Amino acid sequence: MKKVVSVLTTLLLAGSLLFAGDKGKSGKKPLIGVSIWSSTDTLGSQCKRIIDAAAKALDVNVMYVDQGHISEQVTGSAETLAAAGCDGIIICNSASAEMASVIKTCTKNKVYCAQFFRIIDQKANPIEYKFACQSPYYVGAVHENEIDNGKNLVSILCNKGCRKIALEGWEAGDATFLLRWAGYKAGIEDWNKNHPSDKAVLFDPQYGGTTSDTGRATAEAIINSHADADALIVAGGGGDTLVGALAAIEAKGLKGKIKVVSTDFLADLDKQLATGGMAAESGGHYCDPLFAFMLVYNAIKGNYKTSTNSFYEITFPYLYVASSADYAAYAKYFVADLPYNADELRAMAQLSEPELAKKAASLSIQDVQNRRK
Amino acid sequence: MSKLLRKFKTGRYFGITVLVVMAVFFWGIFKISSPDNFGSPKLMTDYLQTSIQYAVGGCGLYFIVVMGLFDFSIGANIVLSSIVGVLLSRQFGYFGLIFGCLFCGTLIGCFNGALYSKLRIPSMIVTVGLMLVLESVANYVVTLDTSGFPGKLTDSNILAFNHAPWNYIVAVSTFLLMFFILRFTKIGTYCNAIGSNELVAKNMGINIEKYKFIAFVLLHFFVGIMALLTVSYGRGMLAVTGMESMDRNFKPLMGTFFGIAFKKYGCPVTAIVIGEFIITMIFNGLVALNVPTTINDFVTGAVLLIIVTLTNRGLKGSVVK
Repeated sequence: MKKVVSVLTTLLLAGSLLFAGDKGKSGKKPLIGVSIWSSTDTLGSQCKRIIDAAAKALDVNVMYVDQGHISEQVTGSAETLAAAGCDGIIICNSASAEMASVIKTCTKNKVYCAQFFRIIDQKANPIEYKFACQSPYYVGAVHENEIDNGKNLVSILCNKGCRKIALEGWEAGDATFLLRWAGYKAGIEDWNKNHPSDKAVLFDPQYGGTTSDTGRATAEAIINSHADADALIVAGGGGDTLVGALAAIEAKGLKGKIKVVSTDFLADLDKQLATGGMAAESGGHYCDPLFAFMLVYNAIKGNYKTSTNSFYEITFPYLYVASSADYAAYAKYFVADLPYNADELRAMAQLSEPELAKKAASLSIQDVQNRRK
Repeated sequence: MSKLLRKFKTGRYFGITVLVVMAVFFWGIFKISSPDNFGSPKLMTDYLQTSIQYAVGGCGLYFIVVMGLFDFSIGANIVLSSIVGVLLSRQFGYFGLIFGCLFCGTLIGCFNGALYSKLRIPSMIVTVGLMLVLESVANYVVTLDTSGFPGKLTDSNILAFNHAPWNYIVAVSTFLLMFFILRFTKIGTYCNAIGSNELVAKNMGINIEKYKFIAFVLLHFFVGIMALLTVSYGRGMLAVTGMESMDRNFKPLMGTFFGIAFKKYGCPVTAIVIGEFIITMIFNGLVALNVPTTINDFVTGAVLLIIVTLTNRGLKGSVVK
């Protein structure tokens, strides 16, 4: 019996190798890997939705690896995807330091690579930035202006009368969180400069992870320790941290009393805005990875020439929603439907890089409304 | 008099007194350091509410940890059972949520126990493998939730276990069940006996394999209850992969360490509950002092080590497993 099982297992493994070999050789459809923190949480599942739609429209195979923003898993995901025969990968890393290893893996395996939701900061990470510029396989990065986003959210809170603002992050040292935090601090500085007699305070952050139960426990601890806080910024973390934080505020009977702003749209944001659960939210950026996908797709197809002294950079806009009416329009074009249909996605794949960057910058609810008329 | 004192020092009341003194000690430190935003009666109930879910898991873990076994798949079980519960709740309301969490949890316990018994390899290795399997299954199950809020409890009519009194009722019932099993059933006695000396227990005629299997089933039944409380507490569960669920193993385990340390006083359940409460209190106290989360983890870990070392240190020259 054992011999039969051994022979069958050996044949199965050998067969899978042959099958894998055939797949690599035929190479008809490009294979693009997606290294993402989670493909199932609120934001991650939306990203997956738009990438799947683009892959279907362009006849591309996609492969997902969830790495949870754990550094060694982020670098490992690039190796996994390269070993799986991907022609290109798009990646949302946690810290910029990881990109040195990711770029090295991609260059060694001749796999094109683009970052989404992230860019390597030239000043903070000069070595990684140099690697990115020098690699002919590092295509570029699509990212949001996180500092402006942070400033805008703080400005919304201050204008709504909040002066003591608590902050819940998701992971200490995360590159995006650090940028957003810098934005919140800059927003407070701006406000205090313009309103010296009515100053606002931003409390130090506590980190609630990326799950709703840890998000709630941390939010409760923050509110308990800052009983005078009139606002809470949940910096992000994929949406589940915010779900937990809202549960904490509701359980304490403070819904509407503590104004909550965040980045990463919730699926029930309209309800939260209508009932006072949320004061405002920036988000709608789930299309960001679509543009990274387009960069890599065009690099694989040979349409975008990569350079050994620079890379492409696309800045993606945030959408801001502060009322149910705002959200209704967003929900119609971004939740119930996708902002780009199959024809538009195919047309997007034909754009030059500057046109693609312009396309990304122009995405808004109004833009989609105009295209659907 | 000294005989009475010696008897008291080895009895349950001494253990409970030590636990209460420790709780008061930590409360006092943080209350003095941060009088305005720590330790009021209202806040203490908040800390208790947060800690009870971990205490439930800690009670379950006690069954196997006391026998020298370990299970890394607890976090993955919480994730999978919660997601199954949420999925069933869409159709069957509370029944679906409770049944989904408890049945799925217990089923995983049967599976873990059977695999551990049949494969005859260390529990840590078996359960690491199972953790990966369960995480993958959870990721598949969450895709079956087409509600638009995968894994989230969005219906406000199904959140009774999110707050008092139902979360307390469930948790206290679980603690009483644990107390009953440990004190009044063969299972509790045999688990302790196997943990003390497996060979002697076997020679006494205890069916070791059977009771290890039962311990795994009980552990995961309790984990199912913890899943019910956790998913209600956070109003949702995130499906994770790549061993990310591992993190969920350690908070219940901290409580179990308290239980093991105070086993000699005959009060493991009380120790688990108060131990988890102390850990939650330390976390909240450090947040009240505006201590960064990274230092918070350091302090919590160090305090745990100190408490367990002081209460459960082996005799000089004894063999530590």
